[in-house]
Amino acid sequence: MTNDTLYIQLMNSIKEKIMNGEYKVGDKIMSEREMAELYGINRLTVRKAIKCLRQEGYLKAIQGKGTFVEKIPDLQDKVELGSGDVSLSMSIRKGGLNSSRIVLSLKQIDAVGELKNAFPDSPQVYELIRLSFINGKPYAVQESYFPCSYFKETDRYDFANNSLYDYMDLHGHYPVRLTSDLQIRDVPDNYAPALEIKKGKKVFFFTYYGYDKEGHLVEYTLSYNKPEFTSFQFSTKRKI
Amino acid sequence: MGEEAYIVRQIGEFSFIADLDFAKEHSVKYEILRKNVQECNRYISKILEIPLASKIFYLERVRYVEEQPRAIEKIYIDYKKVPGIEEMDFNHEPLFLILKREFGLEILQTDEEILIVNANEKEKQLLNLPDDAEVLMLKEKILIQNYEPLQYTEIISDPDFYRFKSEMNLR
Repeated sequence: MTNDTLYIQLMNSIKEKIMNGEYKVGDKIMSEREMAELYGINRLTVRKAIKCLRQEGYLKAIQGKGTFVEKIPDLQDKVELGSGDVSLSMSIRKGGLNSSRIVLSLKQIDAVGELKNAFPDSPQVYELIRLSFINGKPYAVQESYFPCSYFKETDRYDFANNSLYDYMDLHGHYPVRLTSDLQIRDVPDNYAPALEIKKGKKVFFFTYYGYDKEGHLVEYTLSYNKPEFTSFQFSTKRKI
Repeated sequence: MGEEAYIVRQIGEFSFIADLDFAKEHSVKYEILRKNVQECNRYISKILEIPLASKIFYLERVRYVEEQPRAIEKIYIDYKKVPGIEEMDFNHEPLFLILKREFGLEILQTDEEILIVNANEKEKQLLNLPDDAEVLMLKEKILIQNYEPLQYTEIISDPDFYRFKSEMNLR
């Protein structure tokens, strides 16, 4: 049990060094002996950590020369979502990643069930389903609902290349207050192919409620984000 | 698993507040797996901003809710701020209360990160998870006076154990 903990810690430490730029791709890392001495741990533990990192593709051993950094850990490609970031594409860009989006569907539907409760004054709502990509790979599906009583002419707006909030602003109902819930859930079966993940895999499931300056609910969004690209971060401070 | 109790975390409130509320309504127990003073590796030394091989207090425990194992907690604390803590009882009192009462340490800020990761063998065994299980990983860094890092915690739980809520003003 102790060795497991140590080798995982060492793996994390090496990954961290790669991510911090302390080790660059192609750099030679310390030898097993050097690491064992430096951290005061068993050489077999070091060997196990290096072996795992080789299997994960981050390191490469060259016979007679040593172990070298092969690639940067995936953690660097994560989108940091948190209490400060609202727009998914903004979060992606802030992470230095390329973001793109396509509209899977946009239609008017009857507000029934949960939607009727959310938008009681609007018999119909728009349903906008978009698929976001990071560096060309599918990343998130977002289902957004907004009431026809406040919004119109969606066919004149390009939701693939422009923000939903800019559209809402154009119609005088920019969400000034946003509440959100986060859970971990199985990906819905119908979105698994679009996200290129297996059915039953876990995803970050966000629910957003956006309210305009009059306090009316103007947006209800469900977002399914792939875990390998997502890191949700937040900070809490003591109120003084 | 979906019907089991879960903790609702309000973003902007300290985690211990949600834990205390949760403990009022559910039976919560801990099984200590490991508790010792050890030297930190580089990873922990960077997080806690202390020199490599500095002494840290390490606590590893499983949180049981209604007799079911729901989360594994690994806690690393800068030992020079909490000398003698290894002798204390962590089964009957929240850790933040012990830190406050015994050492006068008040939490000023927490920085947290949530990830979904594949469960390793040990986690699957301790939490009774299936072979292909994914788990929620919560990393938390706790800062005290002068924004000095005090504690780093990694929590592995079944994905249904935590839900998060937030509210923000955009304009």
